[in-house]
Amino acid sequence: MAAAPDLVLDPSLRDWVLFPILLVMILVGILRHYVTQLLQSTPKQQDLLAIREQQALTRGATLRANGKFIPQYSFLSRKQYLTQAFKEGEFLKDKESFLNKDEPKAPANPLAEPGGMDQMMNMLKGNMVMIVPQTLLMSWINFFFSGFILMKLPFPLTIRFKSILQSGVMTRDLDVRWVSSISWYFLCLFGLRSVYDIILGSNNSAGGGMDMGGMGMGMPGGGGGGLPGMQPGQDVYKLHCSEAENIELASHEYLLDEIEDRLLLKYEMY
Amino acid sequence: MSPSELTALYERSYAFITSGTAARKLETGELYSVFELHFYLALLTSHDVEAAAILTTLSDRFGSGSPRVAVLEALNIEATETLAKALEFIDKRPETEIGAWKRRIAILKTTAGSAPATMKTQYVTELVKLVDHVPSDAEAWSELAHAYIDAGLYSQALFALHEVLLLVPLAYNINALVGEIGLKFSSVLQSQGSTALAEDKLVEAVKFFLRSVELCEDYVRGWTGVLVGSTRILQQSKPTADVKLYQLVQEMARKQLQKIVDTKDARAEDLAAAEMVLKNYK
Repeated sequence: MAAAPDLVLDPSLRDWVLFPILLVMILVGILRHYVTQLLQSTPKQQDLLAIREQQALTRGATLRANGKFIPQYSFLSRKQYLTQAFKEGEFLKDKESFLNKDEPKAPANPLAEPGGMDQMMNMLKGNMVMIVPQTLLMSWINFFFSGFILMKLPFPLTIRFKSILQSGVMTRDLDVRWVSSISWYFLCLFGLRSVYDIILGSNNSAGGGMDMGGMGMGMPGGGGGGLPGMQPGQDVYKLHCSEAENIELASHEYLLDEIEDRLLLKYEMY
Repeated sequence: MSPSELTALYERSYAFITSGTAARKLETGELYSVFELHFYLALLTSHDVEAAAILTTLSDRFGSGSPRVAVLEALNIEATETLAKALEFIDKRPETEIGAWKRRIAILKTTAGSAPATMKTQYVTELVKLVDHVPSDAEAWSELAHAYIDAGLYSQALFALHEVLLLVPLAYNINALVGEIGLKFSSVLQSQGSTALAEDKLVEAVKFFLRSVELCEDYVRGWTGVLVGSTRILQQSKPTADVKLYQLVQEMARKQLQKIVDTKDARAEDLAAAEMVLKNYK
């Protein structure tokens, strides 16, 4: 061992910098959780005709997937009805306007749709809740504690960890085990997820989107909302027409055709 | 479910909710689902006060705007006050709430039981409107099917039941129900004189019964259906179906039912039914 004199940290660094940063981070996380909950707007109810429009597509898909479970005549009558109804725009939300003018509408601006706007606002809110406190915290630490060494890890690490643990400290020869203030902030930022889980229960939104890498929790609060498989502004009539084509192409293979034989074989009656 | 079973279930659910340790292991969402179930149990076992307490908890948490809470609220009014009041409450909800809509239909059904025929039409009309808007709701289709069965409109009932099968193809009870309606429909057709069609329906009914026992091997209702259906096919004056095949099917159903009866592998009432059918269809 070289006789290099070890650094001695002032205990007040621990009491007045290390713990306060940790505490502030936790409190900000909890605050963020509640603010996110407050900002979350309740998902808008669609009107009844929009539900119908969407459900019609589901019905078509179900018929194609599970048609084999019903007799042929039953399948064929449904097939005929659905293809015709889809093509005539029977299930469209604004059936009247569809029937009155035949010229195709220009693709609507996604921003103009109230649903799309809502979703965007939600995303924006979520991001603001993430970004604002983080900017504040980071500038707070940078302003007051830049270049501080806060603690020493009790285990040795390779030199590669230097950039992670000692950002903001320009000393090249310092042992990797020393952790700088800004690095402590980042460690807290990425590592507090499980602490929040304990305090707020799982599925909280305290960690914001910071846990995307590897935690596998997905964006809390984001997503959801809109119709599955349907972007705002998409021409619904086209979707319905393509569903009609799909149904037209679907062939029917009745699963119960040879069920007698199947069961007789199973119970060894032959 | 019999009242004693219901009470037992209620007690178990009560113990679970009040135990703390078991309930705490659940995710919050799951816990509220358990609360919702317990609410139903409490209402069914006439623990009104407790139901009201749960309802308060849920509406405190989710607000009165929640469609799911609204359904519970309507149920609570229905159970503790009058149907008219519940109907009034539901009418105030937005029309897009499918749950509230279904409650309204249920109330219409209850009142239709004693009321003149117009009320019954209203009940069925509402149901038809519901399945038109939400065709992916198997419950609604099944309800509609039962309404048609009550009215004796078997062809329409079969249509609705086929729709249920499209949504939940593995439901053996629905498969057996399709078979039963097929049997009834076939005898109606027979009495009207269209023998060929009647036999088609009969063969189809047996297929559905067979499907139900394929899905659930010791389903007494399914096996009895197979036995009854295949016997009727063989009783046709000049059957077009494969006689030999249905003799085997009949034999198989009889064997399986006998096995179930011998091993007592079913509920008491099912066993009694199986024995009776075996005796009648020797």
